[in-house]
Amino acid sequence: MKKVLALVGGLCLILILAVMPFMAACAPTPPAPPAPPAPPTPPAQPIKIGAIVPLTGGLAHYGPHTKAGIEVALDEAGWKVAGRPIELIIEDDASFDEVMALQKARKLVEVDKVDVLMGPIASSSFLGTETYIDVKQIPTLAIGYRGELKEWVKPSWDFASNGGLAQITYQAGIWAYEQGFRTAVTMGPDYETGYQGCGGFADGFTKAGGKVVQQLWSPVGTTDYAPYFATMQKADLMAMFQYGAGVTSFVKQWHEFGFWDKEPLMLLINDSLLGPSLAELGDFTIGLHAATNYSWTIDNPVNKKFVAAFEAKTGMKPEPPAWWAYTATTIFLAIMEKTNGDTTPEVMRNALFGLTVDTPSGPVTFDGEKGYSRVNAFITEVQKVEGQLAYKVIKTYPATINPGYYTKP
Amino acid sequence: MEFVVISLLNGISFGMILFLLTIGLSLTLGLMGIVNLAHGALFMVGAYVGWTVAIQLGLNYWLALLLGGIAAGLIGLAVERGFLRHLYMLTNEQVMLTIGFIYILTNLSLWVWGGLPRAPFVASALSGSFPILGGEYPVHRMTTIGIGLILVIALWWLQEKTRFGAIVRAGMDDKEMTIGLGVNLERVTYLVFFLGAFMAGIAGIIGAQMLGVNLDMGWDILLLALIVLVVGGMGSIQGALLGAMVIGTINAFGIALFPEFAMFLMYLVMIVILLVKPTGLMPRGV
Repeated sequence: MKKVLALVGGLCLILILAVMPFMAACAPTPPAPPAPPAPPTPPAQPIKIGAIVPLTGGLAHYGPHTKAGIEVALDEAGWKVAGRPIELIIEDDASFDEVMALQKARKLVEVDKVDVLMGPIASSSFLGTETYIDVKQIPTLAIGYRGELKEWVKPSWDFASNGGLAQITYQAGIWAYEQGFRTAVTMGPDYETGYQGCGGFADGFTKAGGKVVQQLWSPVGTTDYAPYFATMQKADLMAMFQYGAGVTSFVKQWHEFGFWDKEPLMLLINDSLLGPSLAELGDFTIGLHAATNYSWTIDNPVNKKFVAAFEAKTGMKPEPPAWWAYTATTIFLAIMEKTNGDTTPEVMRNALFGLTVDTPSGPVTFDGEKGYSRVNAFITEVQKVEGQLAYKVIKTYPATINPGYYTKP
Repeated sequence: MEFVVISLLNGISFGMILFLLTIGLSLTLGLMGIVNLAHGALFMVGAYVGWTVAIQLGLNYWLALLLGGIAAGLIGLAVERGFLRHLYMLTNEQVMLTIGFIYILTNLSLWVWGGLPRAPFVASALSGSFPILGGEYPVHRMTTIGIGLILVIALWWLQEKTRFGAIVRAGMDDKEMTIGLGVNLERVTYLVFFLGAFMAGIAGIIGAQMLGVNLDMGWDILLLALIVLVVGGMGSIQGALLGAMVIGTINAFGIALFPEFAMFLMYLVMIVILLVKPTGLMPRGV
C-alpha cells in the first residue's frame, strides 16, 4: 500500500514539475501601460538623515552631545539645504551593541528610507554595519574617528568626517618629546581602538627620539587599575588612552597611589573625561595634559558661535562628541550645496574629495586619495576657564594625514 | 617584596567587595533556591543612591552607606515579593525575569542619574594615602578590608550564634522539616533576601571608592560574583569569603604578572574548580 502511495505521489510531482513552465507561459501578459502624462513639478523632496547615536549604554553620556550637535548644525542651516527640507531621525544603538547598530541601520534604510546615515560611534558598532552600508551603498557620515579603519576595512561609502585617532595621538607623541620626556609607558584598552591610540603615540614619540619602555593593555571596561600600578615600570611619562568609565577611575587612582606628583600623566584622548567629570574629580586635575581634536575653549569665531548656540540649546558646554556630530553634519550640508541636493551616492562621494569645511576646530579637509578627513590636533591643559575646569588649548598641530594603521605590538 | 605586598592588599580589598556582593547571592540561592541575577543591578543602584546622598546632597558618607544599602534592600525585596515569589522552583523563568530586571534597573538609573560615569567617591576621613614600602597606598582600600572583616564577623555571628541564623541553616538543609516544626520560614526567607540585597547595596558604595559609579558596573561585577559562588561554594559565609579572597588575589596577581590573560584568568580558575571540586571549596553541608 505504502509503495503504491509513494509511486502515485512521485508521479504527481513529476507531472506538476513538467507542467509548471507551460503554466507560466500561459499567464496572460499584462497590457502595455499608457504613456504617463507629463508630471507637475513636485514639491522639493525632503532629505532624510538617519543618525545612530548612543543614548544608552557605556557611551550614554555622549548621546545628548551628539544629538544636540547635529541639531545645532541643522538649526543654523534652517533645516534645509539646496532647496530641500531636511528630516532627522535619531536611533539608539546602546553604545557597543553591534547587533542593535545593524538593526537600527536596517530600519533607517529600509523602513524610514533615509538618504544618508550618520554614526554609529563605537568602532565595533561601525564594523557591524559597514558591510551593510557597502552593499546598500548608503552614504554614511562617521561620527567619531574612522581614519585608521579606512586603512584596514576600506569601506567605500563611509565618509570619515572626523579624521583618525592616530592623527591626534601621533602629535601627542611628538609634543611629549618636545617637553623633554625621553621614556614613556602607555596604558590602553586591549582592542582595536586602543592599539590605534597607543600605537600612534608610540610611533610619534619614537620617531622624535623617545623610547616607549612598556605598553600596558587592560581589558575593555576595566575600572580598577591598582594591579597595573604594581607591574608598571618607571618612566618619564604615563601616556594613558582610555574610553568610558575607566578614565575617571584611572585619574583618581593615579592620584591616590601617589604618582600624580612623581610622574606626569598625559591623556592621549580626553573624550571620556568630560568637563563635568573633571569637576567631580576636583582641582587636583589642574595641570593635566590631554590631546584632543576639540575643546570648547578653542579661540576662533566659528567655535564661539557654536559654543553659544550649543549652550543656549542644552545648557551644557559642548564636548568632543558634540563637535564630531556638528562637523559631520556641516560636511554633509557642504556636500549637498556642492551637488545641489543630489543624494545619489556616487555624486556625493565625488563631491566629498578635496572638500574643505570650516569647523569650530579649524578647517577640515577631505583627502581624495585616502577618503578621510584631516583635522587639527590640539594639546590641552586642564585649567579653570570661566570658573569651571576645562581643557585649555596650549598648542595646535595643523591637520595631517593619518600616520598609519597600528596593530598590537 | 613591594609588589607582593601591594598586590596582596589590592587582592584582599577587592575581594572584600566581592564577598559583600556574593554573600547575598549565596544565601538566597542556598536557602531559597532562587537565582537572582539582578543582584548586580542592586550593587549599581546602591552605589548611585549612595553617590546622590554623599555627593549630590553632600551629606554624611556613613548615612549614604546606610541609605544606599536600604534602597538596594527595598528594591530587592520588591522584586522578590512581587515577582520571584511566584516562580518558585522555575529556574529558567527566574533567570529570565532577573536579567530583565537588570535592564529595567539600568535604564531607570540612566533616566534618574544620566549616562555620565561618576568619579570614585570616598568618605573625607578616609581620603588620604599612607606611605608604604617606598610608595603610597590609599587609606580607603585598607579600611575596606577592615569594614569587610567587621561585616564578616557580624554575619558569622548571625549565622552561627542566633536563632535566626539557626533557622536559616535549618531551612537550607531541610526545608520541609523546618516548616514542619512550625517555623515561619517564609518570613525568614524574605528577611534573608532583604539582607542579601542590602549587602549588595553596601558593596556598591564601598566598591564605588575604587570603581566609581557607572551603568555597566552591575553586569561586570555579577560575572565575578557568580565565579566567586562557584569557586567558594554556596550557602555559607565561609565559602563566600574563601571564594572572594581566592578570586580577588588571583585577579590582582594575575593581572600584574600575566596581563595578556587578564580577561580570562578568573574563568580558568572557575573551570578548574568545576572539574576538580564542582560543589566549590567550602559549600554548606560539607
